Amino acid sequence: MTRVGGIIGGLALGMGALPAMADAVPLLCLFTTDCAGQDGACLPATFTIEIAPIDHEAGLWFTYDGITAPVRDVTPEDAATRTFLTLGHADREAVTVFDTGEAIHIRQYYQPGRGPAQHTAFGQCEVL
Amino acid sequence: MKYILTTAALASLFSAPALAQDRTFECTMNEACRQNGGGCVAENIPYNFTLNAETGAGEMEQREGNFFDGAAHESDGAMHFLFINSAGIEVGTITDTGRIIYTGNMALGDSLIHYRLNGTCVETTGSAGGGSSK
Repeated sequence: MTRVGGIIGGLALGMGALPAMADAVPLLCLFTTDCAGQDGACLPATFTIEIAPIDHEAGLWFTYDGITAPVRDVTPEDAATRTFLTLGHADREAVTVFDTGEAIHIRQYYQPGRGPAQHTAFGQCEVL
Repeated sequence: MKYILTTAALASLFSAPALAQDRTFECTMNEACRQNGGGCVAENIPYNFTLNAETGAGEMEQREGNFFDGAAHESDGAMHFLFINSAGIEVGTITDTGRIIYTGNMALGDSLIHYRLNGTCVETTGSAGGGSSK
């Protein structure tokens, strides 16, 4: 059994799950970087991520800003959100999509000698 | 017969894959940003992690006694871990500098919320009460 912790994960679980967003793909998501509380390396930006199959490869992929990365839909049954997570990628990236299409993109990566860094972007997804 | 069995046992032992080593970390989250757009405040929250990149298994002990199962993955000197359930996802990264970032995207009622914890970790692998082999 997989459980989620975190500071308010238990509270979220207690609220009851909403119907999951439809399983449809591809998704096209528009995000704006959130730099509040971040260090100077965070640059405000707007970008899109397409979550879709690509030619000659299996599965789903993130495509954005010159990056193509394989992802897995890790959404459990009866979930209130859909989450896509990168696979075998040096960075760890995830896009979480709510029923309304509201979405959050997070990217965590390692800065040698400096420690971990994270970028967060808020946005909206729609089915293509 | 006894000799044959012993040889077979040794052969089996040497051909077995190396035991996967759990890595254990004692972490203190000293900053929590619970609102979209920052809202960061000082915290002092203990978390313990047992992570095994070889088996892909991860366990988190949150607030001293609440255990959660997840997954672990290592790349470029960083240990990434992941916890998922029907409400959302939590993702964390510990690096060899002893720093940790831990993030959650969660459905809370009719909202989608995001939070981030920053902290420091001490690796306790192999110490008393620390890591074990699986």
